[in-house]
Amino acid sequence: MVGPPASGRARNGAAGGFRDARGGARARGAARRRVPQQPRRGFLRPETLLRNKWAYRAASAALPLLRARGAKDYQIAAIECMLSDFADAYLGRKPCVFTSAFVPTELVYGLGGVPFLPEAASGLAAAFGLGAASLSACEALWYSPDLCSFHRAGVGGAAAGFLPRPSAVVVTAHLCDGGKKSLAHLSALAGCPFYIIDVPFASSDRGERWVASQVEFVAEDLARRVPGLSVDGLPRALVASNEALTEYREVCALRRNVPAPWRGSEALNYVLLFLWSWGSPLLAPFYRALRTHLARTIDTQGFPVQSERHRLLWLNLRPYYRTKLFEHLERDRASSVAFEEYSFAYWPAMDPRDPFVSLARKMTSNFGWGPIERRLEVIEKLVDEYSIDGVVQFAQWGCRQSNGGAAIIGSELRKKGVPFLNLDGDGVDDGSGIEAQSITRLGAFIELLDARKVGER
Amino acid sequence: MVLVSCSYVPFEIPLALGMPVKRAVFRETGECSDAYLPRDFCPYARAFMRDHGRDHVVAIAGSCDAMRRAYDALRYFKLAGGVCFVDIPRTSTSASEEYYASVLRDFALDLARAARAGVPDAVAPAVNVDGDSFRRRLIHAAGSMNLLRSELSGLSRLVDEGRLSAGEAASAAFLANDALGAGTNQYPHEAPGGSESGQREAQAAEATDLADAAAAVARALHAIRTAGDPGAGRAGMSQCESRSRRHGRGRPRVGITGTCLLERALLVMIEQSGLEVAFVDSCIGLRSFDFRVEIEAGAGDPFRDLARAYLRKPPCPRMFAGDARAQRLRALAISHKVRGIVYFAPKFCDYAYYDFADMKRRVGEGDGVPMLLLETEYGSAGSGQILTRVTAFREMLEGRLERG
Repeated sequence: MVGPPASGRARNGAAGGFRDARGGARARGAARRRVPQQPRRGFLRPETLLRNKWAYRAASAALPLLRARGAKDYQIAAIECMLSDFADAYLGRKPCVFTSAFVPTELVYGLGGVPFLPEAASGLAAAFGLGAASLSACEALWYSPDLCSFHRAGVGGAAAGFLPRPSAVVVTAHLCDGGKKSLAHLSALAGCPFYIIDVPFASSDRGERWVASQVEFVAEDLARRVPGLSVDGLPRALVASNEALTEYREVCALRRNVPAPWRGSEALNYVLLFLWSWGSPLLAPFYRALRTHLARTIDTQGFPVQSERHRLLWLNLRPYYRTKLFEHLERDRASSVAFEEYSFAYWPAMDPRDPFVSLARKMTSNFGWGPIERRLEVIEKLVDEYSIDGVVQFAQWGCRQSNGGAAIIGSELRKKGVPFLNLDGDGVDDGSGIEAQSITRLGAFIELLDARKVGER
Repeated sequence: MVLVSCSYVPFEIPLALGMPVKRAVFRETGECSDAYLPRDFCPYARAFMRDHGRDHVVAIAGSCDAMRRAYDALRYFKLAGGVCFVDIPRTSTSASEEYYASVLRDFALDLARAARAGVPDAVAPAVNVDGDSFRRRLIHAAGSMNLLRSELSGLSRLVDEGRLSAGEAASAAFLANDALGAGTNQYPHEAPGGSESGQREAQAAEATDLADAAAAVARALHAIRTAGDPGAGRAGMSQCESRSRRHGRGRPRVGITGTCLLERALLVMIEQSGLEVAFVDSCIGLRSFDFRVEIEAGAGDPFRDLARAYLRKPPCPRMFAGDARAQRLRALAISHKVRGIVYFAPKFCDYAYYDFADMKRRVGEGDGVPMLLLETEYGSAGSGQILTRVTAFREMLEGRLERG
């Protein structure tokens, strides 16, 4: 259950780019020096900017300008949510706890800390053009380019100084192997406590109890070892999470509308918040604003893809760097990503009086964990609920847990008459040079859907 | 027969059920594996993608994402008579041992069900895995496996002393593995209870079962002892290996580590390229042999004893054992006086990639032990590219030796 206490520390000249809130590097080593130099200088360097309190004040002050320039309320709410967490993490206002993607973040918010998900931050890094620098920094640390680029960019981002300094690291053992191993490495570099929560493969009461006991231990041990953390706020975080979940389920109900009221390419960007912010008091306002926006879109018939011809279900993540893939899909092919697998809220509302069992239940109910039948069940449910014409799995390079199911998912969907495309790609590495091929394959898939529609007539 | 995918799955359980068991070792990836698993998957997981036949049960451990998906594909595409999943925790705390004990009990029940599939109750009554008879069988199986492990560990000592090549030791391990997997299922006889004569009959049958299991172990032991005896059974070993062994002294000594190294050819190639292999820390090496299982004869939970022993064995890269793995590798490097470490990684093995970076940082750069990463597919051990890399590594080590 619990990993090495303060495992490793950055010893023996090991590399490490973690910096404190003032931007001073705590550990610089051989590999740190191998990191490619950033073209920007001075305070414009991202690692400096992220640790500058004036940058956050300026960003907050700029929000009304964004609104004046047409940004929607939900977009502003999302930026506020992320800005708040980033300021807490980078300026050291709260203890920062690194987590893997499927750790319930309610645990960290409830303890009074701020979660930071390096693999999710990799998507942001790619969007802001820092993907290549992060990947390059990771490879300098002897990591293979055959590993998932989201995890590599997380490790490389830390080495390059892009990430805040963690006070602790918590991972779960389910799903991505890379998530837990890369974060174990980051914990060793930062010299902070590391915890792993083992999640049983099969659902059972016995397994749930075991997970709950691990969560309880992690919470109490974190509260004991990391100054500023306390278990007192857990019920409050669970209430906030439930409130957001209620709003979110309304959002999902609205997204069943045909045509889709929300651009799928944008929805895939917000998977970041979906992974990151449960338990934050700022998540419910975001989903509330989004719900209002979607309802208004449906009322006014202002759909992003007006003459929607096909509705797709998107499995796994997307490329987060600038890509023409979705422009091609939505504008040229009049097809919408109606829903995304990673936006599916799979857990029941939590009981604030029983936080550890609730958090354990959230982990054990992850449909990506366990036999593949659980994932198939959710995919089929989403196909029905969102009137899906075809399913696209973005086969992220190095993502074994998701890509390994492609043959079975394809076979099962074919039995039900739903076309399936396994689209190779890389969500972070814009140098993978696969975009043209992806557009061609996606185009052929849409033509297949066209032909089926003609056949149906 | 039960085909096992991981060294954390106890052989003792199938042996106690009278089922031949072996670690799945493949010469190459399955012909049609592309149809089941993506190409960027580790060759070991992909190699499972073949028709194993109706008589075989495949026990897949939850080692990694790739093996979990292999488990799904084996079941979904019906590639084996039975497919079991063994969910191995990643830590060895008291709570995880308790959980793993329950997993092993379920595994025993699954195997027992698979073994008697289609057999009427009258012929083969259900095995009570919590009963005394099964406990006795487990104790016997653990004793046999302890003996095997101890013998194989002895071969490792011979390798360290330069009296046996690592390739020969690996051959012995594979022959022992094959010997355990030979034969047919001997479904255990359960005591019918009640009458005195019935119990006598059941005890006699139990003795027969144990004798069958002992015969398999004896075959395995013979394979090991033949390899380990300098005066016997050399015919099966290639001259090349023996020459390599005799001339091993004075060459740079290296250790081999990695995730699942199940290819003897790689060891032979490394030795033929002029390196002396001092230890192999892998699934066919020390990690699998350097531990014992002690099952209490009293009223304790035998699965708990098994779980404790296996979870506390030398950790492999998929475990989260803190600094234990680096410390062990460092200790092996020092005690075996090696000049370098060859890290073997099956292509696309995530745990190997992460572990290599970690070991490189802690043991390689930290302790000044040069490390070479070798990534291979099945059957590519003899390729020129791999040979060139190993030769270059040897030259580098020799250069360091000359410079003192």
